[in-house]
Amino acid sequence: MAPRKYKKYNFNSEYKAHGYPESVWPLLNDYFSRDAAEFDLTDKEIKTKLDTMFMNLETIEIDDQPDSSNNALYKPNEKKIILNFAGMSQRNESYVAHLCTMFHEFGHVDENFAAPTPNSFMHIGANGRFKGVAFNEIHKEMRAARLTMNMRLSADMGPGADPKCMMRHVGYNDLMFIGTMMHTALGVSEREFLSAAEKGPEYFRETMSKKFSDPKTFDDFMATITFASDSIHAIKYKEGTLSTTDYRNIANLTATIYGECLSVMDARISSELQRSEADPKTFSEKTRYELERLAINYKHGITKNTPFSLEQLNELPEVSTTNQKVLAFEIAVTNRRKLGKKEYESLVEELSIEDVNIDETLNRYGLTLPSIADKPDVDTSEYKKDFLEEDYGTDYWDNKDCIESIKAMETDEQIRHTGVKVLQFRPKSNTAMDKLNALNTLDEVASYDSQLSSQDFIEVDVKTKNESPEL
Amino acid sequence: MLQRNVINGIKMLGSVEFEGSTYYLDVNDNIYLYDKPNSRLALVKDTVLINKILDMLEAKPIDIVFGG
Repeated sequence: MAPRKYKKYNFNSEYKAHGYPESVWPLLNDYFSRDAAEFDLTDKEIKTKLDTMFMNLETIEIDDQPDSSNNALYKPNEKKIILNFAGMSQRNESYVAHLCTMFHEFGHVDENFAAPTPNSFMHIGANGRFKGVAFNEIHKEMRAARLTMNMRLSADMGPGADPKCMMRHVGYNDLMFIGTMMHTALGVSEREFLSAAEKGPEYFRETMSKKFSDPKTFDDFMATITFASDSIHAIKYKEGTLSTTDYRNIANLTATIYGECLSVMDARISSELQRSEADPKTFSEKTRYELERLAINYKHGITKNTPFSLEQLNELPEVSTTNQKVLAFEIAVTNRRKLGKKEYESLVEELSIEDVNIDETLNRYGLTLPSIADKPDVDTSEYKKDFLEEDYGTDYWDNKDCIESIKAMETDEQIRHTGVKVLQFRPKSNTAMDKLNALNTLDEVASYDSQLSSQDFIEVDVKTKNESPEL
Repeated sequence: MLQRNVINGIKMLGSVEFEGSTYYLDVNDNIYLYDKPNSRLALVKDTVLINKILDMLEAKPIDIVFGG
């Protein structure tokens, strides 16, 4: 099929005026051109998007606002975005749902800001790490949602219920989500789903209702999806409309499917999710880790290999309510999973989480307290291989830079965590450290590492190089 | 050029020309576009446009909610 032709926009002079590096100009022009073509935006709407992009944004924070919604609040006077999870906190939703909502709300920032932050979808596509897949996939999902739900995709450009908040209500981000949720829930491929949608609502209904034994079930399903689309931000429970079970199912589905949306950002997550059932409890530790890593990266604008200390963790604004303490705790747990139960308990004390039952919290997500002797399931050679091949190619074993880099990382932990590292584990004794440094291959490092016990290690803050007090 | 004015009973703090249209600012930071054919004021709901007008009037921008 010949590439689709569309009007090419060129805002180079504007990018230049706002200090955007010349290297991203073509990408931004392509973004606006595709956006206009894909969603039939008018020149004025495109100009509005462009103006929005030039809003001055310096920080992204996470906090509960004094309301019961989830949204992304842009405060121009403070040059910051607040990802608001007040609704999630009030409903005491699951940790996974928190994370998914975080991404969802961040998606709203993205759809309106285009590419002003280092970790936006656009930038991820632009910096080569994800090879532009995110950008294309997101638009594909939006298109699928638009065709199916017959929604006006440029709704984020139109007036909302609040006269001062035109960007309230449904935006691309919601529709991207709905498309994915629908074809997954219907048990069809995206291609099949999109193909049916393209042939019109009647054909779509006729085709897809065959997936249900009772047509009424299909109608219920569509009503549920419509409800979900209406309340996607809050994933909220409407009294008298849906049962608690329905709500829970939707919340779980939302969390799961939104996790799938993340696949556009990271293929590793995608392949992992394909192996899991539609239940966030079955997320493997690896997937959970990736979600958390991305979440923390998004929040702090942390780039690959930027250390993330426990001190920073303690400063997280989400350590303010019991539920959010659990969130902070779980991030810490995952980042420090080599610790034993005593260490976890110390961490709970450190975070002042008196009312959290560690075992219950971990069990809720199917996690158990690992001992240092247990190799985390993500820390397999195959997993490391992914990262190493990505950075050094398939012959990484013979690459001196690779070996040097690994030695510089000093432990397997750094390899596994790539983007985010809280604390580094290193042998207590200098003799052991010297021996570790003298090793030349990953196999040798892994072999030696397995001979050590938890008592042989100490933690070192990779940023300050300070050793942690005895836990 | 800012001018004090009362239109449709609403006290305006000032007005500004932007892209061929006249926008008015009231005391509550609401922005209106004067609809000449109907001789009525239309409340501007586009937050980005509102902030652009506020910026031209050297007033503080308002917060914007994405999603919600």
